[in-house]
Amino acid sequence: MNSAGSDLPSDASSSAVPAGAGDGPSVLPKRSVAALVAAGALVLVVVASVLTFGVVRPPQLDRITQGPPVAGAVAWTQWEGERMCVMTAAPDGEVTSVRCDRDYADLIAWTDEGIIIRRWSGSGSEVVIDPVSGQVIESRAIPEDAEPIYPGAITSYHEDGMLIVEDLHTGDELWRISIASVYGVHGGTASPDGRWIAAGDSARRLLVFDRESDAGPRVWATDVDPGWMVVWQGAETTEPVG
Amino acid sequence: MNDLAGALERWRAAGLLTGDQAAAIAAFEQAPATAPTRSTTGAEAIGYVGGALALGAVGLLLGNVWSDLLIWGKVAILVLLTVALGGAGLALTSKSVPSIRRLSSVLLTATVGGVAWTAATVASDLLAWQDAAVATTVGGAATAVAVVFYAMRQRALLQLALVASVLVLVVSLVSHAQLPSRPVWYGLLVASVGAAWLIASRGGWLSPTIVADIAGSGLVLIGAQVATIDPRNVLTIGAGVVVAGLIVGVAVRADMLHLLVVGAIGVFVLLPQLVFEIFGDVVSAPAVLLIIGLLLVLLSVGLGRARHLIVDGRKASATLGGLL
Repeated sequence: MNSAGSDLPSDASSSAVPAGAGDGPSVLPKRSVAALVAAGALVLVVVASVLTFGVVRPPQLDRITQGPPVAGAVAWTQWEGERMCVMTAAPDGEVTSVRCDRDYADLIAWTDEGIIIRRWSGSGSEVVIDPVSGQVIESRAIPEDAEPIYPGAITSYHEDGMLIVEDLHTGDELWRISIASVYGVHGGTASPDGRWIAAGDSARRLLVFDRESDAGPRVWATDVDPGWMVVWQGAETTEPVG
Repeated sequence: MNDLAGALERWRAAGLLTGDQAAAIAAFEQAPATAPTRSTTGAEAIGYVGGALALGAVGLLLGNVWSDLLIWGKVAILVLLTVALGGAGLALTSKSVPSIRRLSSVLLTATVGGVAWTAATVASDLLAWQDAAVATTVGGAATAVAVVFYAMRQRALLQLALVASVLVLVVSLVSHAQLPSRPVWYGLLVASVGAAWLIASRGGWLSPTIVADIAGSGLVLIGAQVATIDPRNVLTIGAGVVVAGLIVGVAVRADMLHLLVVGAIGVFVLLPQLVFEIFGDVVSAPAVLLIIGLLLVLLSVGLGRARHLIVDGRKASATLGGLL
């Protein structure tokens, strides 16, 4: 058995068994074996306990198809490896990766022209892409009076173990649920008619809130990362908030 | 030397030693001492500084072009460096010169880091796995290599590389969940790895023992501190204080000065947090000052007692040696 008094670094080219393990390397003292088993068991038990009790599960919500249809499709950008992709979600829940580029891009709007994305790097440019094929329809300079737009119509915060989601303009409470502080809802955007709000959550889901219903949000898409920027189809302009 | 030969013969006749063991002890005692001189230690240190500067220069050069390299170029460079480090480290393991043996440990430890970096690059850039899978791959690969190297050479650096690899592997398992766990659970995981390390150390599986004790108890305290991030309340901080107190208690009872230092640091860090949590800002400042003062007094008493025991122990050893 090693002790504090025999702590000089040692090479164990012959074996890695505990010092003083007996006349031969194959004989181990019971205390050493017990220590190894106890150490391994401790880590296994704690890992199993954490995976059983410590893992946060996002709230179970209805799917997009379980309720009234939403007003239109939405688009957002998310990183896929080293590329930023423009994604769309149809009202029926179908998710499409429209176009991916290596450059960072701000998603501005989804108008009759197409999906407008803006890149501030270099001299700055604005491109309009086809929402189906992803092809660039037009590339143009950013208007001189353009400013970064960070749309969002909701806000969320934690208070006393509750996640509270509110309308940013009116302060009306949209949703309240008891959940661990690691779960959250990102900023979202209202549809052109003002009824629907699309927002991402920290469980990599796209949610949609119906402001005319108390039924709570529904899951529009899973395994996506909308972040803070979601634009609605047909939204001519998106008012900056905050 | 004749005294030793006679003693060995008596011990062998009494069945305390085998013939091989007696011969090994005699050969060891006859070998010339190889304590490093001040000049060789200085030369070794200069060598390490030069090596670090050269590696830093290579790192800067690579850093400028790293993002422009294709993935296979990155992997090829990492594999080449890792194999070179590992090969050099393994080639030097059989040398008996202490400075070369230390260099071998440094190279093997760097190899563990190279394996981790290579695994991360392959899993992330080549296979495009998600962060949790990348972390598990890195932890698993580094642990596997570190176990092999540590079984060959039980040195402090390799032991630290091993415990770091195990920590990454264990913590990464929780990251596979859809949402991350709260810090209290991560703290529990870190603390459990530390406790397991301490148990394995006490069981004689880890050497140098002092390094294992410090790493294990340090991880237990780091885990306790992480657990206080969320939820931050009297319960979690109090648990941390209790853990630190237990380490101090065990250290005093077992006369383990290194463990006493680690435990005392834990008490100094966690106890003021507990006071602030209980009493708020109004009375906490003077209360913390009072507690720290009392802790310093207790620590000085503990250190004095430990020094007294060490001196007594040396006197007892000297007396026993004289009798023999």
